[in-house]
Amino acid sequence: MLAQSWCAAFEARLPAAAVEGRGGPSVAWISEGDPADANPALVARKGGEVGGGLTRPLGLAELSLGGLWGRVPLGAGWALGGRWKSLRAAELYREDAWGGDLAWAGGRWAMGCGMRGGHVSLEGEDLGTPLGGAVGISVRLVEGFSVAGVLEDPSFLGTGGLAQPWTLGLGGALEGRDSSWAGDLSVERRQIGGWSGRVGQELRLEPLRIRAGLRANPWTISVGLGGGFRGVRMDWALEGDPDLGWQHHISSAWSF
Amino acid sequence: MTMFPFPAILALVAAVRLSEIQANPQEGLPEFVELSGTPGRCLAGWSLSDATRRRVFPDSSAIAASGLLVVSPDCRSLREAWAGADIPCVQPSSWGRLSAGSDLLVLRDSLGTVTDSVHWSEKNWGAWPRGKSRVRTSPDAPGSDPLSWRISRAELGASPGWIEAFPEETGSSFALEIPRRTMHPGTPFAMVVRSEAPVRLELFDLARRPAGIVFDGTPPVDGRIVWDGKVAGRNPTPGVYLLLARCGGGIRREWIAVGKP
Repeated sequence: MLAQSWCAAFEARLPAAAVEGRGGPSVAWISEGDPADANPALVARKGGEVGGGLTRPLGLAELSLGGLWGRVPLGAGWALGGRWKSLRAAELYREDAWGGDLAWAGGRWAMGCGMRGGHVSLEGEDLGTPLGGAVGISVRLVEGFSVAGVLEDPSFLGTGGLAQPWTLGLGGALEGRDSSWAGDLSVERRQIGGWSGRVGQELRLEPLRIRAGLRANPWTISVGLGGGFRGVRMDWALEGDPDLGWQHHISSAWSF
Repeated sequence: MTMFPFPAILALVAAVRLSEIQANPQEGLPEFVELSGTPGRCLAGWSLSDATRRRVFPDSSAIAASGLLVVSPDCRSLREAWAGADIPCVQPSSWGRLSAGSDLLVLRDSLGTVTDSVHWSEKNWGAWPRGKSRVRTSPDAPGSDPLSWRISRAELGASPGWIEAFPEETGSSFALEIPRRTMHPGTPFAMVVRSEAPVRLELFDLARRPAGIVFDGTPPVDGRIVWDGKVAGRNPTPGVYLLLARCGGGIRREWIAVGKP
């Protein structure tokens, strides 16, 4: 995950089941099922969408995470995207994170930049307000095959001395000409934590979506199912590992 | 951990103790305080006091055969909530609401002598979970030590009038207990890790990334481990973490929220 990596806060990913079923968000372009959370450039590669999702991080009953996202084409290749997520831990801890992206796409190229912000509090005590940014690029090499890169280097304004690791992500995606399948691979280099990677696959049997994914460092596996009708999609995913726990994601989105 | 209180042990314990407190019940359920002592011991004229009110027990009050007695402002609702269970319960002359945030509860005998007391606050005990009672781990455990109490795991969030079975009493000797769910780097954080074999206690963030090792070795006999709040010599950054204890093939998990130093 590239968009929320300032500190231990904001490490829980936006709960989008269509993404989590494939092992996490894709850096490179896939035609559906991604809230463009990993790469601001992808906002301009997609049509309009609004969506929301819920999960319990690590399957822990006292934790809850919800999120909303949306993007809208502005015309002439420009698009705006935004997202918000909120984590609650019992009544003790609360974190809210938001992101806003502006992107442009023309021909094979797409470029975007975004701002990231949020707020963290523990037992009512303000822990600070992170603020950062991200830049990304996506190139469609041939029809159905694209590569992408993104760099996020958040800063921190406030108190508490939160860590500020940058993250570099690279990825490629393949999609069948008839859109009956899609697969992608991403690798991340994080300032703290080193390399990690993920691979995801989606099989599309209208109107069903069957997904599977694998992440490395940390190791997790994921599976997911989804279905849609007239632009409205419902998705479910299960991801995790036997030691730290499994978590369910459910989400819904409307594409227009 | 030997879970308090077996009747046979209770028979040897002369003192009447506070053994369970429910200060933050679910909507519609009453607060209660559970006492333990020698079965049959008369508690007429005894009282429970906090900062605002003194609750005097009725003359019929006595420790039940189970070694327990529940004091509550609404025994009937308590019994109904627990499906008509025969909970030994008495209603005092009056009842002022307990404060889940911070309160002092003092148990006095009929002569006014203090026999037990407990003081809790969010700062030391963490927030009181809604609907969960706190159960004392041992009759000898200091009343105001947060490690002397743990959150009930009973189905309805409390176990008024009966002994709650915890995992270590049902065959497993491996346990991880934390007194509260908030910690501040640099402030010692005491935990109980019960195991006769070596245990590795690690911290993970919510992205499942390891943040560091908190403890690696065989816990002391009493299981008490004091964490200095650092991992790999550094303060963990604020956020929610998972504490994962591994012992052989066993795993115990607890989450904590880390604040500023």
